[in-house]
Amino acid sequence: MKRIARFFWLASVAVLPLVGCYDETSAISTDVSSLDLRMGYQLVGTSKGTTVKGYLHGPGADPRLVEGDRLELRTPIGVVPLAVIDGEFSLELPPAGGDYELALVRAPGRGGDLSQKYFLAPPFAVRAPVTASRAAALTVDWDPAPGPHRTQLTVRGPCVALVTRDLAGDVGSYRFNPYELSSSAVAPGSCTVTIGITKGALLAGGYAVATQSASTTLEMTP
Amino acid sequence: MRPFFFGAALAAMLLACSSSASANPLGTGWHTWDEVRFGLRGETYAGTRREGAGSVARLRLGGADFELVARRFFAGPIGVSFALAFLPPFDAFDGISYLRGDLSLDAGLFRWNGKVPGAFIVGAGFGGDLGRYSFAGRFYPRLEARLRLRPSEHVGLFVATDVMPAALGPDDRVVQVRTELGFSWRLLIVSLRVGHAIMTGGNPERTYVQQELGLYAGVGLM
Repeated sequence: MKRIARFFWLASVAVLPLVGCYDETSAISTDVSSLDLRMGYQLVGTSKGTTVKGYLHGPGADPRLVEGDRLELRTPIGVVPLAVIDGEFSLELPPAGGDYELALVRAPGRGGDLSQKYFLAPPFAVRAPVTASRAAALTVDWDPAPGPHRTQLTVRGPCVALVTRDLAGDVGSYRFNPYELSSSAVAPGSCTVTIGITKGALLAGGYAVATQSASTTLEMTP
Repeated sequence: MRPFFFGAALAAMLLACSSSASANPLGTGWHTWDEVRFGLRGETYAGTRREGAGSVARLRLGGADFELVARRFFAGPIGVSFALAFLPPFDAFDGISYLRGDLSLDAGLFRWNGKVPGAFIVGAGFGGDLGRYSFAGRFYPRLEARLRLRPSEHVGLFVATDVMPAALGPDDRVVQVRTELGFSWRLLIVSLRVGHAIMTGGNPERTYVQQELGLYAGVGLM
C-alpha cells in the first residue's frame, strides 16, 4: 500500500517538469513542406549592376535550410547560391539581362522543388539633348530590346510635374510634341530634369518584380 | 455550467454508493455495477502535429478533464460501459476544452478467486471527441482490455488498455493507444495514464506522434 502510494507520488512529481507549454512550427527545413513555403524576389537592374532582394517564409518561424535543401538564383551569368537570414536574402550582381530563376532545391520527400522565373531586360542607355525647350518637340532615344517587358518613360524636375508615359512596346524612341511638356510646367524658368526609362515585368496590382532602368538629365528651358 | 458539474458529480457519487449495495467481492460473480467513478484528470502531452499541408509543429501542452465512467454487466459476463470526459469551454480554458464520449459492449472473459481474485474484461465499441488535440474532431471504433485485481477487501488494482485503430473525421490517419494503471482504496481511485496518438498524412506524408501522461483522482466503486 505504501509502495503504491509512493509510486503515484513520484509519478506526480515526474509530471511537474513537463509543465511548460509551447506549440511551435519547426524552423528546420526538413520539417517544412514545400506547400507551406512562400518565396519571392525582386530584381532591380541598372547599367551599374543588378540588385536582388527576396524572402523565404515558412508557416511559422522562417525555415533554416539544412540537409540538401538549398536556395539558388539562376542568372544569365551563372548560378548563385543564396544565404537566407531571418527569412530574407539580398545580393548585388553584375549588370546582365535575360532569364532569372529563383529555385528552392529540395531533397526528395519534402514536397518538391519550387521556382520563380522572371525576365530582366538587358542594361541600356538613354539619350537626350543637353538642353531642350518645354515649348518645342523633344525626342528621347534608348536601346530597345525584345522581350515581354513593359516600358515606361518618366520626366521629372523642379520646373515640371511628373510626366509618365506607358509605351505600347520597347520601341527605343519617344517624341514629346510641342507644348506637351510645357503643359506640365509647375515653375517658371529653367531647371534640370531627369528622363528615365524603366523596362519591367509587373505583377497584378502594378508591383514591379524585375525592372531595368536607365536615365539621363537635360537642362529644360521655358 | 457549475450546477451541471455538481449534478454530474452527485450523480456519480449516488451511482457509486448505490452500486455498493449490489456489489459482490470480485471473483464470486460479475458485479451488476462493475465500476462507476467520477473524477478529475490532469494531463500533459507532447510531440508533433501537422501544420499546414505537411509541416511539423512541436508541442508540449496540458489539459484537464472531468471524467465519468460507468460499467454495468446485465447478462452474466456481458455488459456495457460508458465514459465521458469533458472540460467546458470557459474563457480561462481557451484552447484546452475537450469533450469525449465512449460506448462499449463488454465481455468478461476470465475471473478467478484465490489469494488475489481478479477478472479480465474486453470490450468493443465506438466513440468520438472534440477539441484540444490536433487529432480530435473524430469518430472512432474502440477496443479495450482490462485486468482487475483485488488484493484485499478495500484495495483494488487495474490495468486497462484501449485502442482506437482508426478515425473518421481528421484528414490524417489516426491511431491512438492509451494504457491506464489504477489503484483504489475504498471509494478513492487514483490512476496514471499513458497515451500515444500516431497520425499519418499530409504532403509530404509524415508520421506525427503525441505522447500523453495523465494523473487521475476520483471517487467511485471498483
